[in-house]
Amino acid sequence: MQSRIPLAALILASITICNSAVAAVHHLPHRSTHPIVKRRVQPVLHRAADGIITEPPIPKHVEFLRDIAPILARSGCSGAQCHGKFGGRGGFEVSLLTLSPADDYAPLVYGDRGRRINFQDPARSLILLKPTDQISHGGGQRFSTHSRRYKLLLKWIQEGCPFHKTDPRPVSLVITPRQDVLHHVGQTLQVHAIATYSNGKRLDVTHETVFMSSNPTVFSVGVDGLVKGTRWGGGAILGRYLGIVSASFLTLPETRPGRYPLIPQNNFIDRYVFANLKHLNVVPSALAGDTEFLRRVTLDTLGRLPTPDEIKAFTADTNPQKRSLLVDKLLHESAFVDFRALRLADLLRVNPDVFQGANYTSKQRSAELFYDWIWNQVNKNLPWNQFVYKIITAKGSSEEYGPTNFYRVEYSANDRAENVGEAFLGVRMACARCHKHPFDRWTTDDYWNFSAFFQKVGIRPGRLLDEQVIDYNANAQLINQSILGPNRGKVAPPTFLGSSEPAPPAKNQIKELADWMIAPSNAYFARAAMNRLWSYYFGMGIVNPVDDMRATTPSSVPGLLTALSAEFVRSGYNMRHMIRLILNSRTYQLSSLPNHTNLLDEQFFSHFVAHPMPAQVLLDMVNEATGSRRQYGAFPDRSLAIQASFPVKTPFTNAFGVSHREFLTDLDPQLDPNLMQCLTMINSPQLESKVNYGSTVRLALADTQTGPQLVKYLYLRTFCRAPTPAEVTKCVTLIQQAKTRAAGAEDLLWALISAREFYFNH
Amino acid sequence: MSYNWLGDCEKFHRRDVIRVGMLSFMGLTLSKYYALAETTKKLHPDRTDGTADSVVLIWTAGGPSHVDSWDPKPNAPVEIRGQFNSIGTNVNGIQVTEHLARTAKVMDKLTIIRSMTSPTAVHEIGTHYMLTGFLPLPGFEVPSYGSVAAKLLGPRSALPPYISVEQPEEPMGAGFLGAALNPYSPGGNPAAANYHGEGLDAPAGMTRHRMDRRRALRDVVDDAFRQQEKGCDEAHAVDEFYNRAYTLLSSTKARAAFDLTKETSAVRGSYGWNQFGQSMLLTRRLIEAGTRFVTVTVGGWDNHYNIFPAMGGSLLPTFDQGFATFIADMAQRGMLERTLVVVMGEFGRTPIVNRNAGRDHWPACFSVLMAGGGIKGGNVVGSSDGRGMQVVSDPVHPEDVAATIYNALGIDYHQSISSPEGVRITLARGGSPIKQALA
Repeated sequence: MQSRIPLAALILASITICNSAVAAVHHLPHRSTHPIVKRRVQPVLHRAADGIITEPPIPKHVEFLRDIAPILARSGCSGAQCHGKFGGRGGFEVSLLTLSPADDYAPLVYGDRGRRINFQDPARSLILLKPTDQISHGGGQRFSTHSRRYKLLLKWIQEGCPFHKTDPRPVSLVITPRQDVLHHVGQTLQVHAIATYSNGKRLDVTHETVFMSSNPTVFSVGVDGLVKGTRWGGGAILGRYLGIVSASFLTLPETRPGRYPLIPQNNFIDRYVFANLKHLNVVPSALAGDTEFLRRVTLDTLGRLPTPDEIKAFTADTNPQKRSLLVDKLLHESAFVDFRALRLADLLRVNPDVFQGANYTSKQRSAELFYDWIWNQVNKNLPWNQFVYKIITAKGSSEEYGPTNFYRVEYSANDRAENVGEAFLGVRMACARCHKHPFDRWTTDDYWNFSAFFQKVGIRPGRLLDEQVIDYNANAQLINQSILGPNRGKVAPPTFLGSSEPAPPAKNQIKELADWMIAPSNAYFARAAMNRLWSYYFGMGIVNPVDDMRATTPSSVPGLLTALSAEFVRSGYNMRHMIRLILNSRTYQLSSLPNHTNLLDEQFFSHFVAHPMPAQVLLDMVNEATGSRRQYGAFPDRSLAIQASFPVKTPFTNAFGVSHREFLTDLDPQLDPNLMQCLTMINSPQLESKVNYGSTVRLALADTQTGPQLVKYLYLRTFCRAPTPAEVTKCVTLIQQAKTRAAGAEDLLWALISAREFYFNH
Repeated sequence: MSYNWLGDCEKFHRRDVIRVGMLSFMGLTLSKYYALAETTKKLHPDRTDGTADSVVLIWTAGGPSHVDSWDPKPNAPVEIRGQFNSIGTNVNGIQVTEHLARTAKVMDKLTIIRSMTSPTAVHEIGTHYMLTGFLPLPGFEVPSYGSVAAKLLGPRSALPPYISVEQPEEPMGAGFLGAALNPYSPGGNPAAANYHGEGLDAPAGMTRHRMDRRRALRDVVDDAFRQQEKGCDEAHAVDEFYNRAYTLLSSTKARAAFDLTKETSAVRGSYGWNQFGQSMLLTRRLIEAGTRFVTVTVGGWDNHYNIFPAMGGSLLPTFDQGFATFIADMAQRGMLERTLVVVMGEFGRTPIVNRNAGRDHWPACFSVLMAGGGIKGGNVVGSSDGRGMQVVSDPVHPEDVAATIYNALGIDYHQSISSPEGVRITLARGGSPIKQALA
């Protein structure tokens, strides 16, 4: 019927990561303003007296891996738009971004019956004529005939294109300095790439390394590794040499004269955050006021606004411990369980639509069962390690045991591995499905061998219609389906992520995997949980994206994630304990109002960064604020949107961002503002009837006599604060223009719920 | 007071002028307002540096049979030729199937590309490839042509820059560029009696004065938060979108573009009283009112069974009427010259009719149609072999389609854009504009 081309092959064809840095024309400045960092580096650094790197000399013997393969990467030959593209270009194909350099020898030397090399007249070799544009080359001139690259290639051909299996291969890379501080904007710093080879030799490969900046607004980096600070902040300079990636972590403190104030600390979180801010010479914002804190923490824990009575009671309370007492109280409310269950149901993608089968009732029943199970575990505060263990090792019927449905979200072994990687380990491995991950350590073997565990999760039909039974299938084997991997087509032995040896044989390898995942020594498990947990309360992770924690991604607060993870493990993977710590930290309780030093900060937690809440929370907030009947989907015993087992597609929630729990990108809701949100706010008849016919306006009219009283009443119900005198005056002027008092109240209520101060947490 | 703030744009403009005077009271000084207006103008040029200001992409979903439409094989045996005859067009030597009789009369304005080729026979992958210029990438989502155009060129008018008349297919979205650049989809069937753009009509009983008052109130209560937005991009974006929403809602012209009752029934009838016909009419109105990129989806082309009654009975005649009328109407209004029109699906269909009297997926060789802004008329690019199996000359790849679309809009298709994670993709990765198609 239809011609079938392996998906993986097609996907590879589309890898298009392009190195713009390669193509960029770069002129080295004449002088560095920064003395080269005094660190002991064994290999000879190729640099002139002023610290700027110079071209290394042409070696006595040219080696393929050391001298030739890097030319393909640095000249852009192996870019995805050129010969690195699947199928190559102009009949010449090399490995993408030179990620597997040894494989590039054959196409270069033997490809197309050896037409690229001319041993009789080396200078007439195609691999010299083309990139120097002496004969027509689609990619134009990549280097000149005077360049070192040309000389190296020429010498290599003259020597007979040697490449021996025993040639040393690069095994690791270090970007030096590994970390450093720049002192003012405009300052430059030369970083060096030092490769260690399989023979133990270390070599400065700066000249053949591709550099990138993780945060170009703070640091720019030129093709030869010259870094320049452009504004205060932090970031990483990444270097890639023959498929190996490493990073140098840099900061540039704010230059602001004056003494740095003493900032009180509530717990160890503050110690790390404030030490980093002090290092950056950025002063955190003041502590949030009581009402600001109450609104923020109630929204974050219960997914609702504090009531006017709660506001009154909390502001009147004189107990100095009232904030931590409040946190304790909130963490024991059932709405807290609802909101946590919503987050986890997003993470686990509880959604009947993704299950196999045509019977929606059955699938819905299974989703409900899964959700109820999650809710109950959160309610019990089941330790996170046990929670995940139960999910990974789930067995039995989808109609009887909720967590079995986790294996119905993705059905193929490698998709399950990707899902587990992102949800529980904070690693995104998808790139390594076909070829070595260009920005992380993962190889195709890592990917397929880790996936091999999940091949052992069997799935078969149950007795009921569309019931599925999960069991353990000890003999199932997975074939490595990579494109460029050395073990393509071979059986993939189940291997823990990051391990070079296959997992030892075990009676049940899924249990073995789960044990490895939740072991305190696991480098990913606790960190991934803590980074994501942090992002729920701050709107972003300590490392971002939250589920892509590469070794080369800079952390916003050095040490913090490690400390949080250690405390998490020490507490017995107690989520509620960690949430309590976060909410009690001064960092969480900082005002969202920036001061003159931290205005530009959206990264270091020097002030609370306002962020929108998931659409379900917003819908509940709107219902509460307008005093409207609540209805979301058909969940008979639950009335709040945050209590729904799975998302219901409504125009309102679609516009404001729910996770639809369909794809791997849906582990968290998309909360970007968009045009439809505004049109929905302005024109939605449903919203209009909530505003006009909800009880809030009627109560407000009955409970207040004057315009200013009305304004105050409505501010309290929405913004949870009293209006300023100026706000009162302006609002009263406008609402008095309405035909009736009721219409004026409705208009103000609409304005309040459409305002950012209402629907952002801040 | 009745809800009628569409009708009188004169009054509205006057109110706008008054409102500017009130702005300082709302936290926006006059100078800042004009600075804003100025940057908006600069950012959103009406005329691009390319050959087209707008693009209309007609997505024939399912993979239409090229042999039964744009690339007939009258001399091939019947199991390839199929049941349709081919007819001449108003351009000598170019033939199409008999069910495209109206389109044949506007052939002088069209280019048929008969040498389109793609590696994939899977719907989802082919769709992604054709609509973005990329095969699906694991790990992140590539943006569609419309979203890239919306990002790099911005809107031409008060209308959203990118509109998908039907609910968009996933690859028509903004991918890693962020939801803000997703197409606006008005929803519903333009052929329905009460058709209107979703979110564009005020709730019953809402008057313009009241809407203005609400907006003014919103400015007042939102003002305190502005102090904080300096440290928050998202908060700032909300402001931006409210401005755009109000611009859209307050532009009579923009909103009226969705009102098909403004057309005479003769005009509506000429496009055909069906969803596709009325979608094409709506598209013409949207382009006229200044939309940058419009996508129309017309499905039903996945004819594994009984292809001939399906295509000859309704698919082709419906398409023929709506499309030919659209081209003629656009040309007559002088709008075709600066609008690139592209008709394509994810692949073609097997030239040999199968045992179910249908045709299966065939990506190795199929046809794409282009017209308008910068495209040659009465033109055929490339050719297939006598059986429509393989490309014989001038193969065209999806990347070339991408390059052609970007190039027509004056967008440098060599440039790369970055995902939030810092992965960069080149817009038309290795593709180049289809030279033989260009005027």
